[in-house]
Amino acid sequence: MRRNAHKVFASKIARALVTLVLMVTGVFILMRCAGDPVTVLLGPDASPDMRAAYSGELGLDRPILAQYLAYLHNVVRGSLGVSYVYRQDALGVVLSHLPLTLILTCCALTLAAVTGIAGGIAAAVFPSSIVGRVCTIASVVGVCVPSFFLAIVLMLVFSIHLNWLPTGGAESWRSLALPAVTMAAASSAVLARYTRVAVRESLDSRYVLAAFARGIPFWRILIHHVLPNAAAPILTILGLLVGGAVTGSTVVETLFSWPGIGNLFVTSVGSRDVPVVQAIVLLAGTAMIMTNLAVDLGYTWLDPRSKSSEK
Amino acid sequence: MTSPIGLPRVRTAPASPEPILELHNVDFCYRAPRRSAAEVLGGSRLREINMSIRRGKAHGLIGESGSGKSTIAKLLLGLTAPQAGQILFEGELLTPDRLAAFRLRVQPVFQNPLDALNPVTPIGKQIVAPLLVNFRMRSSDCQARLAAAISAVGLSGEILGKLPHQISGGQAQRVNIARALILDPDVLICDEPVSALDMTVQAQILNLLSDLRESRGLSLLFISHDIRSVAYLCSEISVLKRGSIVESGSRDQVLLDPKTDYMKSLLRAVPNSELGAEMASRSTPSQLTEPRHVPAER
Repeated sequence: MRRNAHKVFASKIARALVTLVLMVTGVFILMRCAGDPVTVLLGPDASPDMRAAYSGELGLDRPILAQYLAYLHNVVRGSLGVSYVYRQDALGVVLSHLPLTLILTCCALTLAAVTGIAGGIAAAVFPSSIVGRVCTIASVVGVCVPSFFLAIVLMLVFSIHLNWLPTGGAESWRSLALPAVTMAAASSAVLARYTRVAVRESLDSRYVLAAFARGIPFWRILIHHVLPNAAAPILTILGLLVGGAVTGSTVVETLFSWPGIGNLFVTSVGSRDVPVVQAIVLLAGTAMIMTNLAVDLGYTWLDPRSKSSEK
Repeated sequence: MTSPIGLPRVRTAPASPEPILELHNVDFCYRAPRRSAAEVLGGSRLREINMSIRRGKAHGLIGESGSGKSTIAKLLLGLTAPQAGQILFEGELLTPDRLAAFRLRVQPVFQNPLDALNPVTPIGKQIVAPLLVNFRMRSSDCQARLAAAISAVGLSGEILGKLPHQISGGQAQRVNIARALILDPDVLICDEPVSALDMTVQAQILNLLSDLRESRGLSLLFISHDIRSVAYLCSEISVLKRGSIVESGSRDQVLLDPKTDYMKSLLRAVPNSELGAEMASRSTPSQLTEPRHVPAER
């Protein structure tokens, strides 16, 4: 049994590694398709000598396979080139912006997880009550309202009319409130909808009916029967939200001038800072793959049936 | 009357057993949002249901799909309340304050055995859960009750550590019966307990229920649309059609001398058309007697 579990874990990790290699390769191909890096770097008016010198310096005069292997080698070493704008190591530039993005995404995801899961459970357990109806309506509205619109409304109400919170920056926790709420709203709504469906499905099952018939109290049925069976789909959605949060924060960070990776990404695309864009894409892709791996492993732990289906 | 501590007692049914569970003029209708299409089309509105399950006897409830059989099971399990009429347990009205104690003495066995088991909890934990929740029992007492319950249904201890997806349908139904028996109930409400099982396993489960009724003096409500199973197991039969009981009486009365066209048509629909003749000769149908010799799954 334990051996089988190890086998399942090993196969999932191997799959994640293969996906990682494919993602890195995809980034290499896309960067080559985006245009000649020498032209991007020197501009169209550069002399042939200068172009040849830069090609030699960047290794672009070598065969494509040699370039690919050198690129892989650099990725493994964490060397993704020098930023054209900051004149520093591109990965270093990205990592210096990472803490603020992590603070924002952690706050937003915690808020989304607490409100989304609690709201989804309330909507499933009390479907006809006011609490249940409010949760259901709020989740529909949350999914429909785009984050840029919500951000503008929040700024108008809390920054301009009430003057409680700043419209942008990252000076204090007060600056964090509006971007975190904006980012959490859509995630919370998605999570609430999936939680409601998963919990309702579990509540309508025969094993819950059988538990009621055996005189087991409702709160115990909810904790021991309903939530463990509803956890797997909720975890899947939560994993996707966590994985997408790094790139998903782009709009919110730009709107609220939050100096995180999302904001850096937009400015780097504008200034054609290819090494930084490449580093961000690789980092976001790695975050998504690692989150999916964690969800896969968590799924195996939560639902033992998935272990046997993997065999 | 029921002692939760100690090994299951053996009850003997009196010569003329009194009703243990009764429905008196019960009306029930699902609220519109909870109604399925079949129910909206006239199925599950129960009207003036009168029925009684006698102590130590097996009562059969037959009828077509959507006639309200499972709704009667829910009412008798206290999982839903009637809109009119009364449910009596041991002659006393079933009220909300008596529901908790009632549920320990009336236990269900559902149709799809694997659906009735929590997919992520080991079998042993599921069987013993009602004891741990409802009574503060010592671990050794729980283990003794668990051993008695699984041995009563012909299962071995190996199954206790397994998860539902690791056992067969027949074993799962035995687990469901063991889980019901561990509370030492007076009544088992069996809602189509064999319809999701193959013929051989059906016969094993029917024999098990029959043996348990005899050895423990259990009262059974056996809900099925398979007349042969009901004929084999039950001494009294009620026939349900579109939410009303159209015929009720002893097995011989209902099967050999049906009063309604509906019951006659149900009997004609039985694949073994010689059922009547076999019933007349007071022998059990051959399909049902034969599997008694089939060894139980373990």
